Amino acid sequence: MTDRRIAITGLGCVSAVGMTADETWAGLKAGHCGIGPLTDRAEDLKVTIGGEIPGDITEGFPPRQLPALDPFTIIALRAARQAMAQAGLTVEEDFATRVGCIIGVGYCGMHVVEEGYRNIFLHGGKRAHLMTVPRTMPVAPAGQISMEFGIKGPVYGVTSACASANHAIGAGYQAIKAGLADVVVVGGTDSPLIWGILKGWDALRVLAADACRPFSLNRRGLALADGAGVAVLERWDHAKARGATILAELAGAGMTADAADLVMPGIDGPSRAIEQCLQSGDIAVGDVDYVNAHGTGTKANDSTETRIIRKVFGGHADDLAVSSTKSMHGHALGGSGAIELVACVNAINEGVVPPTVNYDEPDPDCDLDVTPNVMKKREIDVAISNSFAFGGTNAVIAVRKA
Amino acid sequence: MSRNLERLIASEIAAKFEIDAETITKQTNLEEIGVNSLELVELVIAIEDEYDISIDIDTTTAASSLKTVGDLVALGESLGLDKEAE
Repeated sequence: MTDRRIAITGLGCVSAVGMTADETWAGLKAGHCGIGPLTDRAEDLKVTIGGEIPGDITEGFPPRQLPALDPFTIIALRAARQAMAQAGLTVEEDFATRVGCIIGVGYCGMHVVEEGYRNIFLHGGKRAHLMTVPRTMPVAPAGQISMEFGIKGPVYGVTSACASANHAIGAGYQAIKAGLADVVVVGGTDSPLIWGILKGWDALRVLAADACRPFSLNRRGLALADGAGVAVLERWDHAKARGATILAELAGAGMTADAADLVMPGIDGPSRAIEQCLQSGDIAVGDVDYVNAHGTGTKANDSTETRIIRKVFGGHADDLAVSSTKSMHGHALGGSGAIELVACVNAINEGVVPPTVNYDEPDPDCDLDVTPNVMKKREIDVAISNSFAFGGTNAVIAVRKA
Repeated sequence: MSRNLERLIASEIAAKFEIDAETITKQTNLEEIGVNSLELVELVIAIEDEYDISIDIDTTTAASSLKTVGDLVALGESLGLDKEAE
């Protein structure tokens, strides 16, 4: 009988902490914070910090290819190359229709839009960039990855604001379970560090002034970041048959909505997402060792998420290791869940809980073990990763040791 | 003056595709040197910018009528670019 467990056979990442999945994990483990002063076009903004990518994202791309690519697609391609290389997978023509690609994005390719506005409104330019439409579209990352690797099965983008990557990962999980594909390249990406978008977040008043301090009593908000993550998901016996190294099992996925407030997280919707995720993977609450929290660092999210975790896990909540790696890689919106998947898989394989950095003082409303400032050694069999988005959309995934 | 238009197109192609401009003639087949549908429109935009005109084409079908450098030159000529340049 076909073993439809889902293997993770490759990981890639470009984040504020590092240019690769390995660099990012090394940084997260060491508590390295990639959030710093914004260096590009920060005039007339209240926000002064963000998670910028610490390197040249265009390096290695032929100049001819770049006009067609907005930064959110470039970093997704870089992450996909890493993941496909680690998976050791070449998509042969006779197998191409059994491979899919699903990439989550919270925004879209906004750089070319902003440049167009500036050119036309400020400088009297006559036309927008020819590539504005193909660069902007939210499916651009998935489409470009499919073209680079010759992927011809289900290829599409998904969007759910800050939960986009987890929805994409969950959709890949379901596609393999349903027999639609044997391999699905999944992940998420966003590049929101652009003046126009930052101006919008300024207006929303949820951004941290000096640092992102999830779960800390003095937390003042989130830090936006650019970032992308990609994973290669594979039907278990397919991965086995070709001798691939299985990094971990993608053991479950849950998706729900609050249908309530636009930006205030609820208790019911996220709790059901976690429960559904655990059920889908036949995971008991007591099996979970590590929760990679949504942990944005806003007042409301972190205290609400604490209540959600306590509601779902009951007495086991005090035995859980919890952390917010967003304190280091920032909130890459549609990219966050995929960067956090990189953290979860490595946490399991190395028995290391990455820390929540910038943590100053305990908040009685966030009374879980949030792994303050320094990583912790701990045997981890199952990790879950929470994403609770504006719009009340929730997606949770579970990863189990292979 | 269509020679000027031809050399303009050749220099645009040369810069973008890293090909020696001297090797590009009216007979050069655009698809054979790897010009895709959107890059073809970029060449049309270069002509628009150079001569400050507007050229009405359909991106989705342009490649079926504009196959060579000569076709682009003929398109320019049909819009009277020769006369204007003289």
